[in-house]
Amino acid sequence: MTPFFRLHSGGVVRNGHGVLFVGPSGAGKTTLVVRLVSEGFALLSDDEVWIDPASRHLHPSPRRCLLKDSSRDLFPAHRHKLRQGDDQGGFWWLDPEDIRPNCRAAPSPVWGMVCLGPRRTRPVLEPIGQTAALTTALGESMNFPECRADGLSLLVELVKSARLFRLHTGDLDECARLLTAALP
Amino acid sequence: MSERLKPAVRADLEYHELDDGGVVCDPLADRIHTLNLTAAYVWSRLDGSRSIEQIATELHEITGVSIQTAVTDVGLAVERFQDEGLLQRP
Repeated sequence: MTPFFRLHSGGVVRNGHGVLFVGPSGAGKTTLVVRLVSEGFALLSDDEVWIDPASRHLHPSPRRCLLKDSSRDLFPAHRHKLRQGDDQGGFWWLDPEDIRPNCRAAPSPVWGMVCLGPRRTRPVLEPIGQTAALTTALGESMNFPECRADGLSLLVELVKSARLFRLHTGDLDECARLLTAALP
Repeated sequence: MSERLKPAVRADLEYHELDDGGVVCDPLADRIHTLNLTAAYVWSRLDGSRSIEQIATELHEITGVSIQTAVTDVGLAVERFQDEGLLQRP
């Protein structure tokens, strides 16, 4: 059985269209995902999206969302629902059901990939090329060695079929506005 | 590297073309290389039938860059491929 390809990425779905937020730890994946799910998007994951090598569909991962201390104050409505991480100081678990009931997404085809770039004074969402997107995705692949040949083909197919963006993060309200306007 | 050499890429490499470049997987070295548009063009011409000079001339004719720039760009790309062990040994 071929394993799922695991991408270090946030992911949401709206109207059946999956969108990935790819970037290293600290790039803002969880913050963006929790915000978008609060606004009605369905949740794939805040940190790790699984890709079925056969169907190419994005699958939700079962874990809870993990917010950093620095993001906790951005979600006052969820603050009382946060549970402190047992062995990870400065981290807070948030159960998806506490963001919005039944917010888990069904497996969905990918529509877009948003690579998270360095924070700017004003957020900017801009189109990027396939090479830049692929380079980012390769860097965030979690099980590439065991999926090498299939994994590369899968990622190439993904960047060829998806709309590709870079989001220079910043003010969360503005990021959410940009994404809500751009995503299907 | 001599401009008259006719380099060829290794046959065992996995290559995928992208709209704005390409990506090469080297299973022996366990490495992946991403190529920009110029490097991807050069890669596509390295089948052992063309010299660096010929590839540079083609690049000059297709893109309109000066022949000097084309020779430099092609030479640098081939040198990089050679340094990374992606070319067949002469």
